[in-house]
Amino acid sequence: MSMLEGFLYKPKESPLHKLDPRSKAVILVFYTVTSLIYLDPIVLILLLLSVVLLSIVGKCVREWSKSVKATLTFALVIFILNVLASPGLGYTYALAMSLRFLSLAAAFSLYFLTTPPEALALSLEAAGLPRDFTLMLTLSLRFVPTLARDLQIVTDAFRSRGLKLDSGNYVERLYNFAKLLTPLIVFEIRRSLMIAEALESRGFGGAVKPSLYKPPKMSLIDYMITAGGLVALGVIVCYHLGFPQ
Amino acid sequence: MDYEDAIVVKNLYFSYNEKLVLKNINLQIKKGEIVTIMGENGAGKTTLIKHFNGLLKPKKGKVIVLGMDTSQTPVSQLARHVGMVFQNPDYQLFAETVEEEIAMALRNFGFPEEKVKARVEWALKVFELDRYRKRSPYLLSIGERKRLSIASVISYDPPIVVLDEPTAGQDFLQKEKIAELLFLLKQMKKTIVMVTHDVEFAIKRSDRIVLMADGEIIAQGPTFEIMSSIELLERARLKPPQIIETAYILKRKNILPSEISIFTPKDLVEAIAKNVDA
Repeated sequence: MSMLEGFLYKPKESPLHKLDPRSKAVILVFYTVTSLIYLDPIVLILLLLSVVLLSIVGKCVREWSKSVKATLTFALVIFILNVLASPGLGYTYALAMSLRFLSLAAAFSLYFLTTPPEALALSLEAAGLPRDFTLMLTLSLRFVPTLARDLQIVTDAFRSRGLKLDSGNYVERLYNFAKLLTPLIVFEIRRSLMIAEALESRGFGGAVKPSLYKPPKMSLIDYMITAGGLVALGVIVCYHLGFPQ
Repeated sequence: MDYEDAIVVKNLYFSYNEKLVLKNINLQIKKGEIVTIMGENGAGKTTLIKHFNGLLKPKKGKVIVLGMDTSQTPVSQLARHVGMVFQNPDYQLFAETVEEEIAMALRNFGFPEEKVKARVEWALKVFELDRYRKRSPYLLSIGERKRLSIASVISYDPPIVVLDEPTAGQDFLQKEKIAELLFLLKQMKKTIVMVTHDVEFAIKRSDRIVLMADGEIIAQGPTFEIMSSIELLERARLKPPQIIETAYILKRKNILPSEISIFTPKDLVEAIAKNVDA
């Protein structure tokens, strides 16, 4: 669950936290597009280093490093799979694929660590996205800690009835862990039905489109970052399309 | 070590993420006792009982269960001696049928198959779940699910039974059934530890009350002694049982003498009758 913690909003006083989710989203798109179109390890390392700098600005190095540490295992798997599956492309290619995954995960982790889900939903709603979609996004982020707590309670209940989850061989443990899924799924389905009923009883999904209590506002810095991000994105894409590698 | 004690807690400290949630807990629970732990939400009650079967290990101090140090003993071994019934039955049910649900713990503890069958039959009868044996646990009512969660623990006959909020969300009839089960467990010489906010339920069924507030035990003693102290109950943010509160008001208004002990409606009626006669 520590990996998920690195993708959950942590309230702090930092310049990155103060930015509007939309201007940060433009920078996120820049990082995503750049890591997807470039396969040069040096470019990808530079991208990764710039995210490190941003995490210092955002005062969330500790939380951010948790998610990066957890994704390192996946990056290693990607490296091994690429070496095995495409032997002709060499180690540099495999390294670039791992770095691509790492820089994407690092950038998204930083974005979610510094952006409250409610502000993100409001901004998306203000940008014209349907409310069902924004609610889905907010709820999925909101329920990560709840799901972690539920998993802990179910684990405790089963261990109390003699289920061995921390001893025995791997197959046995995996089989025992699978037993936890039944109560967890049943409970989460029941919870989602309860939430749906609670939302409907409070008028969600009515014919009238609700107005926003506090419409999100972009500051001058937000506009400057958005403009800078869009220009940088345009340059990167044009450079890539104009001079294919 | 005194083996007359089922559970001994010595200078227990526990913290979650550097926040101290249990402070210097000292407690002794004798074999065959019914002890109720009470206190407001966040007082540390559930954290304390999770130490009894080793789900949580002390940060400082010791918890000894039937002579076993919980920090040195795995949960799977302690669970055989300490049956824990969680507050919400939905978190602990998983099997396709009611009888499979009861058999789960028995198989985990390596009971021979003929014994598993015999215990399942016994539990189905005692807990009045016989007619649902082939039904999915999730199709039972909340009261039946609660009984099933207790049955699945009692079936493997642990000498200590810990119940977390056994009456939460239960109607009067279900509460009475749970009270009957407690009586049955008492007859079976089990040691029972209960966590509840339900003062009316606790006053009738406990031998001893432990009051907690802010991670500490603020008082412990015989049920009547603790329940009669309005000040102590207030400190633990609990409302006194109706009978105690009524007697307290009558004593304050000098309708009843202050030295008289009133614990049950019968005591109150007799005291009033005596006063009227006088």
